[in-house]
Amino acid sequence: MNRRQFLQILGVGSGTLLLGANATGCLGVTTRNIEDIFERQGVFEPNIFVSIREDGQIVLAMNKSEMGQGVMMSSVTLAAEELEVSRSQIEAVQVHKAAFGLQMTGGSTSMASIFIPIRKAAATAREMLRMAAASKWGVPLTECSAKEGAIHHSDGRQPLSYAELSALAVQQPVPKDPLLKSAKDFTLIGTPGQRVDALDKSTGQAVFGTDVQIDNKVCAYILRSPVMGGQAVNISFEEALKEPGVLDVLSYERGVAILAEKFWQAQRAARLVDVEWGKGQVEGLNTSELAAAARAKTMEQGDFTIKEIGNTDNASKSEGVTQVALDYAYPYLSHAPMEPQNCTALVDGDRVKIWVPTQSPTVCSGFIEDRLGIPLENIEIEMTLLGGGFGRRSCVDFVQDAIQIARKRPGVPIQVQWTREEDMSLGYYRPQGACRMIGSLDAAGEIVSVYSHLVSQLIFPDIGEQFGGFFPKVIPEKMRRKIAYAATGYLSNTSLMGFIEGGDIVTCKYSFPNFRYDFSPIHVNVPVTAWRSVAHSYSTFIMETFIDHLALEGGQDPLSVRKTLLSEHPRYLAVLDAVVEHSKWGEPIEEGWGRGIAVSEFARSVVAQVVEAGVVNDEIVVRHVTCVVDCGLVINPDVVKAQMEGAIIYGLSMMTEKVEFVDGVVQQRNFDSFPALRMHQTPTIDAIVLPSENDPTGIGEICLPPVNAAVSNAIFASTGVRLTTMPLQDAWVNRFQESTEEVSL
Amino acid sequence: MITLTVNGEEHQVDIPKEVPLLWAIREEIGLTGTKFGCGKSLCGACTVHIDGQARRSCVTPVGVAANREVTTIEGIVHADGTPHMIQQIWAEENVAQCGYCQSGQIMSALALIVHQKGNVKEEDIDAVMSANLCRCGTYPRIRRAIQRTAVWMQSQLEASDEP
Repeated sequence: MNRRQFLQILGVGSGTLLLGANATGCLGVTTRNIEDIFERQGVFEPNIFVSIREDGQIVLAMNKSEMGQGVMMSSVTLAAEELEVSRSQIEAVQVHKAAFGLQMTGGSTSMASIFIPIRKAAATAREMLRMAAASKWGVPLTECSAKEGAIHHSDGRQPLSYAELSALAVQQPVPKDPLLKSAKDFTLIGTPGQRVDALDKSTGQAVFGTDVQIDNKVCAYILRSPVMGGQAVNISFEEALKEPGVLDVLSYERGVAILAEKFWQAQRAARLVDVEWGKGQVEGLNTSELAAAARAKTMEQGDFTIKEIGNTDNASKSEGVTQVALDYAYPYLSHAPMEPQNCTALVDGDRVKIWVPTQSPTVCSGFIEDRLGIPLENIEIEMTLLGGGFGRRSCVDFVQDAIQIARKRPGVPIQVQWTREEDMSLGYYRPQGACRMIGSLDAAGEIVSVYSHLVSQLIFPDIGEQFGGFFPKVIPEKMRRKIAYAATGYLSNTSLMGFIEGGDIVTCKYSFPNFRYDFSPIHVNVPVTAWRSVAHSYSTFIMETFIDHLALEGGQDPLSVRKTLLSEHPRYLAVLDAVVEHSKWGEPIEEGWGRGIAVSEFARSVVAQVVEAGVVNDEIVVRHVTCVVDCGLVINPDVVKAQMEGAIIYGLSMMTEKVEFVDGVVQQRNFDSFPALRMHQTPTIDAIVLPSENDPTGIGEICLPPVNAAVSNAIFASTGVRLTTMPLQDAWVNRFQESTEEVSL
Repeated sequence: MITLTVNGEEHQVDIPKEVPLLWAIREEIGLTGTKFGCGKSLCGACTVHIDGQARRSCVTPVGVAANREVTTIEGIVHADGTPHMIQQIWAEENVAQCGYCQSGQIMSALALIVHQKGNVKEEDIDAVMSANLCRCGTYPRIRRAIQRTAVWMQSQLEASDEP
């Protein structure tokens, strides 16, 4: 397997994780099946996405998870556009279907991956309804058109509703390549509208994982080892069993579960349970030591060279060339979605059902199959709305809790509810790391070389464990896991390692004459995974502050340096020009405030931002963000703007957030010590979307990566202090300290 | 037994008085619109009204709410099922993303708007709404929705003042 094939299997490229399955190939349902389904269920279901009931209700089966990013609205918009109905006529449901293939929502890939398949599915249904009408009326197909949920005839006779036509539609041939509407005829795509989930989410009716109501369910509150991963050595719980509602206390791989009729009963009984814990998986870990060791390593030779253009060594030694270096560091981060992790599981003989807010039912089912040895066809996954995802809900540790406890109480649905403390202290995290950047400038101040040495934990260290369910079902199950494990081994042993971790350092489009990116892995048993924008959450910060620094050190303007180095990339130039036009970049600003600029690409979208920031009472204050994106064709303008605002705010939270270990124990356990951005700290945001006729590209993450870089650049402009350590607020407070401690890795 | 009046309905709940009101609402009465987010009055997802005032139900002992009027997100919907104006405005402004924190946001916002009789300043929004976290980053829209609802509230009050 060569590098390219491997990356294709992993779906990694251009700084994004292409986790979405392209379901285009999954639309072929034969006519016989369509008639069968209609016979049995009275539903016209021409394909895996769209079905129309006899009463005319249109149901759209979503292959993506709604975690706030608005994919339900977008899925409905695509289907409604081709079906010629209003959005309110479609009911969207999140479902796990084998026919969807790999279901994973992440990497900002949803719109790119469903834009054509959902429209094709809806257009297929529309065409069959038109054919049904033509046949019923005995007229040529060309005289029949779809409009407002009915088929109309050109002579103006009484239209036939989809409900009336469904029985006849099932008998029509399935069009192989139904004509999709052309962009000029779109009435819904590109038009703002109220989200289809907006009212339910404003009235308390939206059902999240934690809201699932099941008869006879038993609730579990889990006690955890202070150092993650520790198991109970001794437990005493006799008194707890006398508490009202308490049913059992049981020890298992991941903790001690108190089972009760109600969650409050289980949680309350915890005071009567004493546990002696064994050793955890990160015993003795101190992140301050890890940071020092990582920094020391960045000063040494890198373990692997991932990307090399020209020769940075020679270039930096040329006559008249000066070197400029900056040292970077970034902490572990918790995703901290508002809904703490949870899962409900029912294990009954060789059947399992779970109710779960998940980014990937495919990973859930693959995991259950693997752990319980239950065949995939006996695993039912009911998906609820997700109270935030950000990458955290692509993991299955909460599913593991639920199934491991549920298998000890066969036939009883077990609802596992994590507390915020569990959510924050058990992982998974965005990895911690350090990076050294060395640039060379010639006598004229032009950049001649950039060298980068990143030292980080791998973002997906256990792909085999986590992502065995990723591979297409046509590959036998054992083979799938083998490939996953092989891939993990491959990652651990070759220079491929560090490609994902490099993020923007690897994928940035700057045309440096000489460039090298080295990577050295950190091996530590902290659970890590993708966190909104994956490696870009730190690598864009590194690249976009360093380019600024080099420009200024060379006596040049940061904007014009960027434009010169990006002159071959019109989309970059367009967002940069637009952000300058829409902001006050280059204009005077009052004392104590500064502007910073940054540009980035993620999930094939490009973004530029100008941030206005300053320091007030020793606190970094961001007062305004101008943000311009090119994310291709926009399906729902207001959803796109909401994602821009949201990613900027999530990114600004990084100014204060960190997760630290002291003697193996996570120090941040709730929102008091993990201070996410709040209303009064939120800047005004101008979100501008460039018009585009290209197919849609990602929007859920793209606006996060540049924001800390732009803030740091603005703080340099206002104070002359270059902040290179995240969280930025800590870096500001500690700006006079410089660690000289050297520790071997 | 504790007597709880939630959304105008009286309930007898068999629960120790120190258990957080949140769990009485969610598990004993079965109203799940009020959310568990932090358990320590840090995020506001559990916000309800007790006698019209915004309270974090995750740290309010159920005993404190006994014999008082508790109102949840479900309780501000009109009897005929029409959403409260603040909920309609919330939907029109597309405030919610994941939606998990929004019940708490709306209950905090409504208490503020009612208390200020619709005269809500920017600083009031900063001061009061900073108690409610949203990880999706819906703050700019929450602000807009509050401003719109406040204007509506003022017009309602003016209309009722007219003879």
